[in-house]
Amino acid sequence: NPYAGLVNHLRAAWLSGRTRPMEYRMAQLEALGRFLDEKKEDILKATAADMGKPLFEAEYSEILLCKNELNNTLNNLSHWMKDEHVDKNLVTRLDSAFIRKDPYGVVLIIAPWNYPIHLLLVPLIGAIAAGNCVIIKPSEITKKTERLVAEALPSYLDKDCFAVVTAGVQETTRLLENKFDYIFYTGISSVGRIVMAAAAKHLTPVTLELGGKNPCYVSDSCDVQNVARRVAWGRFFNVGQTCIAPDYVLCSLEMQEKLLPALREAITEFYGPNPQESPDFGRIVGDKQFQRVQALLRSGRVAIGGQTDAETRYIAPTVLVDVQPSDPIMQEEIFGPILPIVIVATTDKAIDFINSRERPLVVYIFSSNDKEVNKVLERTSSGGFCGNDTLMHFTLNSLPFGGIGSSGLGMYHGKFTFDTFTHLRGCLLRAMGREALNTLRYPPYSQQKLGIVRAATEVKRKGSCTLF
Amino acid sequence: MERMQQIVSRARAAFSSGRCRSLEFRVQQLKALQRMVQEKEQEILAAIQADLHKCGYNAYGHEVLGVLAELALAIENLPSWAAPQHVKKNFLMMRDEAYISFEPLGVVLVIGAWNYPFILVMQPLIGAIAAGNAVVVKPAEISKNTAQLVADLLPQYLDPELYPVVTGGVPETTALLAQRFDHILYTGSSAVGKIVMAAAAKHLTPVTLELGGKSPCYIDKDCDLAVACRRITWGKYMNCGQTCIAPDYILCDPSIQSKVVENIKATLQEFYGEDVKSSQDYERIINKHHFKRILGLLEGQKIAHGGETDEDSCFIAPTILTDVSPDSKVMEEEIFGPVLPILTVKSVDEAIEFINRREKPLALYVFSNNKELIKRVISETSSGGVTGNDVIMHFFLSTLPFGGVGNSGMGTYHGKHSFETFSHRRACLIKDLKMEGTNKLRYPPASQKKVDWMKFFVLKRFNKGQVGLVILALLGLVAAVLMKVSFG
Repeated sequence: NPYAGLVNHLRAAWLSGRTRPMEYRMAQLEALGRFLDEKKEDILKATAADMGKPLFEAEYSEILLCKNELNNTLNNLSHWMKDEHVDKNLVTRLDSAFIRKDPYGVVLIIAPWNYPIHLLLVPLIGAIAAGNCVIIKPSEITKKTERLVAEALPSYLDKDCFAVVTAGVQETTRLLENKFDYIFYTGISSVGRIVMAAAAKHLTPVTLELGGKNPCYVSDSCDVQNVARRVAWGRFFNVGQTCIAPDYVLCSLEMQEKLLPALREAITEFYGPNPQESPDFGRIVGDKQFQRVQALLRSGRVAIGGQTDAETRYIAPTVLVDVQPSDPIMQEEIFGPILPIVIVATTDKAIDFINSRERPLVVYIFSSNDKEVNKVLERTSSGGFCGNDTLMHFTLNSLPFGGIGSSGLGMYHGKFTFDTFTHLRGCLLRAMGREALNTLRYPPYSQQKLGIVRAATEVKRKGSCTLF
Repeated sequence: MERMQQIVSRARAAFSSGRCRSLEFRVQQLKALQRMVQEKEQEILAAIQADLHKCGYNAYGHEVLGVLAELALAIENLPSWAAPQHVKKNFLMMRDEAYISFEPLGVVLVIGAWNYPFILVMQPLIGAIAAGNAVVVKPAEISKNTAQLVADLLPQYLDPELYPVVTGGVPETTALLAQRFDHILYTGSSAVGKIVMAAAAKHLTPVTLELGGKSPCYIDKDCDLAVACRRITWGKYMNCGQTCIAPDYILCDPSIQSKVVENIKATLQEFYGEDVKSSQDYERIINKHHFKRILGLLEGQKIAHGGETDEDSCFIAPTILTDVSPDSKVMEEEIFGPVLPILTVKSVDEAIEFINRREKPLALYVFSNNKELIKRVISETSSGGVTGNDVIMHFFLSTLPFGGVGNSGMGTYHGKHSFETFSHRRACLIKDLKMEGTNKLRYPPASQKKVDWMKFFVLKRFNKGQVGLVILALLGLVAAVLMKVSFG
């Protein structure tokens, strides 16, 4: 077990209690802030080199959003850490009852390649805030970012409590043989199953942030130009390599006719007449992924875009029409800059279509009719829901972010990250006195004792008669 | 296997029909459960008595009372629990609707345990119904009378398609676990907990595992021993020690060990009289297998009190062991029986170290007049839950989340925590199709100006008290105008 030594070392540090005091956690978090500030240019360079990430996108997703989470955590940590006092019943009225926020211990964070800094740092912020020791495993696919994290991050953090492990598939499998006190994995469902199976051997709780095909229903009643912009932005941000990107559009034939020119206009507005030359349009992360996405272009018919360049791993912002639900592009998460449109005649048919498939990470609907928005919300199930926009629910950290079914389990962002890495420990502190009250529960039992116990502990329906 | 598939797909079809979504329906089912518990009280108590040799008062106090309390709580609070929770918005989303919607997960599996066979299926069932799910109930087969009763009663009171009961042993449970569920709550042993989670992993099903372990009980020199020992005696020997949160073993200074034994002996006399075996208030071990297992733990131990057994009736007397070695068999597994080992430690530091060297327990108990000492023990250890200066009682306060950590389990339930465990918290953001102006900031083509505006909105943390909402709104207006001018 090549990682046993490392895990044991962190566990020893954990048992020493070093990560528990608030001051310690704040200091580590502030160091993370310095990492983001001092290494900002390196981060932007690395993500640009790894996947041609446009500077604006990188600054927004890898730096700004992380700083947001960091500041929010630093501002609220003392409040989040406090014992949470709870309402008491008659029997415990004079006792102290509270929920203690205990760290789990040594936790493992496995990050993916699409937002390689963000999806590593945001869980890390919560794990540190909650008082844990952490092993961080950045994605091996984005090599320059991986190296940056492995070389630079440890120097900002306490090396006894936080370690970065660089590992491919084989090594990660070995890493997962160890006992962790929590595992946080972001990636695909098939690997999510492997992670959870490994966790089961040690009864390790997990959060799995997975994916799926996020449907985007565009109703007939909407302002097409704004819709097209918002959908195009969500689809083509990071070249479609976003777990919450609108994966496919559902709309009527009439709407499709209006949507296509609007989408064409939005794409030109964003990336100019030749997106390959735009500094704001990225590239597919690797050759394997490029080939996979390129093959999906064969479904349906190209209405917009469709151009590719294997050498630079460029795939143009593309919209496909005449797509059938049975086509290859409708069988897997696209994770690329291709937007298939599937025709459905009505909102009800769209709902049925969505419900016939695995529950996605997010359901999108565009409609100026509130009732329609609510109908889709109520009759579908998904990790999250966003009406009349794409991606934005992700940026509000007072909302929990996570999947359901095959799109994941657990949630995070904001306080939810802190809660994810915290064991909620119910504590009741009683006094030695008042023993007389306890005699009710002691043997020998009697009908009389039972009657009093019943009266004292029952939770009754307000306004109901006291006689059962 | 096929039968399980049918049961689960019927439950899934019933769930998909949408009929268990409405609060009215859920409350109606919960009220039906209430009627069931009230109308069939005698049958329920009789079944528990048959399974565990438990007198009616005990069965009522341990199980029925808790179920009625949970039902009343859920019925009373469901509207507020299920209401959408609006969340704090940032500056950019001031005009949008942002809230958390509590939604059912789908089809839930509840696997009960035999030691409190009624409440350990009912309490999760109540939470799962309240959250709007379909529920497959699998009571423990070892407590066969209660299992059969639950299988007979539930279909008489509840929607039988939505809430089917499956009885059986290991083969039936294995077949059930091969099906796809949207949450599984399992109460039982850590060994089986791993099997349940491994099965759940195949379907990416979230789990709540209420497992066990050895719950330590530290008695400080500075405490009222008579009171402490009475409380410990109650918690240890109730249900003949077959309680997941029973104080498993005692840690105390050698100087008070014999006083502890004396006090427990005196309390046992008070509770069960001279001849424990003839006391109506003392239960029995569930079956011969566990009887033999617990008997095995006594081998080579110094029995300070008790030790009498009778295999025919699965009777084991309340037993105390002294000067127990940490390496002995009785200290290796959860005892789950009326045997109380006492281990001596010279200080609270030693006690903390002892506890931390072992798997994290489901419960931890500390007895002391010194509040600071209690706080220290809590802060320097980890456990599912804690009761200070008493045992068991944190279980009965439903505002406290009940569950384990590490080997003792994952997830929590009771009261509102049950509702949340069986719900999906769906983040909802509903925007306007208008107000496109502010969106322009994020669209390509990018520019430094856009980045600067982004930073202003995303990073600036306004202190509402200072700035005031009116000024904020004015700023918003100015910002919107400026952006329209900049980006057209």
